[in-house]
Amino acid sequence: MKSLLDERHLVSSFYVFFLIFTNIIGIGIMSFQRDITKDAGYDAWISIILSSISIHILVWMIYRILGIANNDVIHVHKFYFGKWIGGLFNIFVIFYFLILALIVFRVYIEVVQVWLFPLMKTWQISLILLVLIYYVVSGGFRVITGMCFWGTIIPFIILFPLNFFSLEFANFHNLLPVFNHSVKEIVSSSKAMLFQYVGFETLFMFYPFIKNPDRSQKWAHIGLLFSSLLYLIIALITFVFFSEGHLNQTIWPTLTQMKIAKFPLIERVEFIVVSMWLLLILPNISVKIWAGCRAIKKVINVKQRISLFIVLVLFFIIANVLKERSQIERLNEMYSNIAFYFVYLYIPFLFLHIHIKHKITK
Amino acid sequence: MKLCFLSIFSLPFFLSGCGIHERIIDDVQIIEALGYDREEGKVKGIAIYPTFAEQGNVKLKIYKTVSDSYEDILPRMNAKSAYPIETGKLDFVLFGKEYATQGIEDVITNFARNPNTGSRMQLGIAENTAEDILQSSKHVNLSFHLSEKINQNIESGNLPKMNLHMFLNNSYQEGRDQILPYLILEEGQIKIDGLALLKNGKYINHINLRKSFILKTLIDGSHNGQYKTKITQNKKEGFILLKNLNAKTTYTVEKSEGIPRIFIDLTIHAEIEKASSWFDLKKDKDIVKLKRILNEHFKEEVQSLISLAQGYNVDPIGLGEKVRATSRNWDYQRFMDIYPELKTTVHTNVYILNTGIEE
Repeated sequence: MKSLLDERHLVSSFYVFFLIFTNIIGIGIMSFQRDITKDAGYDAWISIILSSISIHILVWMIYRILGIANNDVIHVHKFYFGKWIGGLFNIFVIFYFLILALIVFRVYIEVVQVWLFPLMKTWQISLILLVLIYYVVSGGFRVITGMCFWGTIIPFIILFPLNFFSLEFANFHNLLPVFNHSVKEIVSSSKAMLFQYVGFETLFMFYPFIKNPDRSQKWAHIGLLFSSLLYLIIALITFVFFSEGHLNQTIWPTLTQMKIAKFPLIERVEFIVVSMWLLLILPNISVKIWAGCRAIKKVINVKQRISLFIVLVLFFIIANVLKERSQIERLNEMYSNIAFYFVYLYIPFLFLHIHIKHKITK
Repeated sequence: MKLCFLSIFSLPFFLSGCGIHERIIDDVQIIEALGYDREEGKVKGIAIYPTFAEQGNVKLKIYKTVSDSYEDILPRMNAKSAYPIETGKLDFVLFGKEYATQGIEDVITNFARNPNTGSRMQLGIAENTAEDILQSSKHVNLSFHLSEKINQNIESGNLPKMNLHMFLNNSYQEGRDQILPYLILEEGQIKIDGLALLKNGKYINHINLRKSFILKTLIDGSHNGQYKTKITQNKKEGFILLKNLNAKTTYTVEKSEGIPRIFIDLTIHAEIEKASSWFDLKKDKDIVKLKRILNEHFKEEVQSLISLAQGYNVDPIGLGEKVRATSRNWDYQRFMDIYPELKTTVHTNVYILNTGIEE
């Protein structure tokens, strides 16, 4: 299929791997262990696998939807639902991406404030980050993809190995007895796990920017597989490192378990880790903001630079309004509910709708 | 436009100066050990801090303060200090016995709240008061020697693996009670004299270093530790010092109605490090005999340690955890009710790998 966009804007299909991976692995990997064990206890590793499988199916659906339309989701909405209902869906999509980026942005600031600089004001750190984000996003999609590449490589080399230091204190009895939770508990823990995979839907927006998009599906699945493996390994390490009661008390288990690593000269590795995490967070937020701005451009035809600027100003304001941890938590919870319906209901609905329409018009 | 960009991009550099609370090592007061005592209904805090007069020359000094509860011990010390007190390097917290009998869990869980607290921080219980121990450790003039003492004994002595993280793991989890090193003063020097057994953060009793070797092999297995035992043969008495090279314990839980039975299989690979001279180690027959004696001995020791723990109603070995790992309907309360009557069957295999380079 021929692409709609100029060749120089496109990225080759191989990069979908990095785009998917960095979009999934963001802020959640620091704290997901506690959320998923709330229901399923230490059987929660099963739900990581289950939700990963469901996301694989959804990615396949997204590829079918976009393959038929050969365009992004904004176009699909307009084409299949008409100007008004489609427009409504499009506005939802804009907010969906932007709020997700906002949550990641605000939680990262919170982590920096709690772990590194308790006295640093939110406006100072958010201003610095937003300037950086503006720089990345205004560079266009290819620049963001480049960031994604480094955002995958660097943390994988530096951050991932640090988790293994905690195996010194591993207690494998924690994992036993296996399958001690009901199916219902595991399913509701999979639901909590879903929020950690949210972000892969940006595929809806960047699909037209892929060279040979139909050949890129394999890379999307591999990216997904890698990220769920990363989740699984880190979760298992956490489970053997923390007792279940202790994990319930820990807000950021991944960071706390890195605290056990000890090096000469570096007393606390997690300080470096939080700083390095920016390299993961930056492309993660950038892709989502880019997707939001791209959607705005296609809906109301505003130049992307202008909408980006307005969005970032709004980010700055909202990030400062959200002061307490409980507020951030509430936003997070509300969003994860919406994301649940969007991902598990809306995407299959869209998939069926388009397939039926496609068959009829044929 | 270019100017505008330049000013925006220079912003981070200007901004990075403000708000960051710099903590340069010369401008903070690092404390390296902290002690809590109960004194006439009040809490007494003792902190050791190093001062560096010249390169390579450390002098340890002490802050003391009294408060009606533990929470504001550090702020009170801060009021005495020329520099703000930092707990980032704090790696030993000691509790007096009297304080520990009333519970230390609050102090420790609140330490864990602080991101600066290291997970490898060591904790301990002092025989009398924490003040005695810390006061005498002042003269050592060696930074971190208290926590190093414990770490060294974990790595090559008779102490099982312990640190702040493991303490928290055990205190939040059902199925294993906490243990902490028990420190005494011997001829003005600080000595680790075994392990203190705790329940819900409250000191119950302590066991000596020989028992703590047994406990160590029961908890995590070990590749180190030394163990002295008395041998009687042909009406002669003698001692043997075993050097443990590799010990491993496996547990099998047999579920029966009511009270579960736990089979403990202990394997020790040891080297004879010292033995009384009348002992003949050349003959195979004698070695076999010795092995039998040692097997009996360890079996007895393990049994007596378990029944001792059962008598105190504490579970330092983590038998509860072993039962939990094999049962579907885990009820901690019920387990603690039947814990004193829990049956254990011990089987030991002692292998004497060698006797050094001479027989």
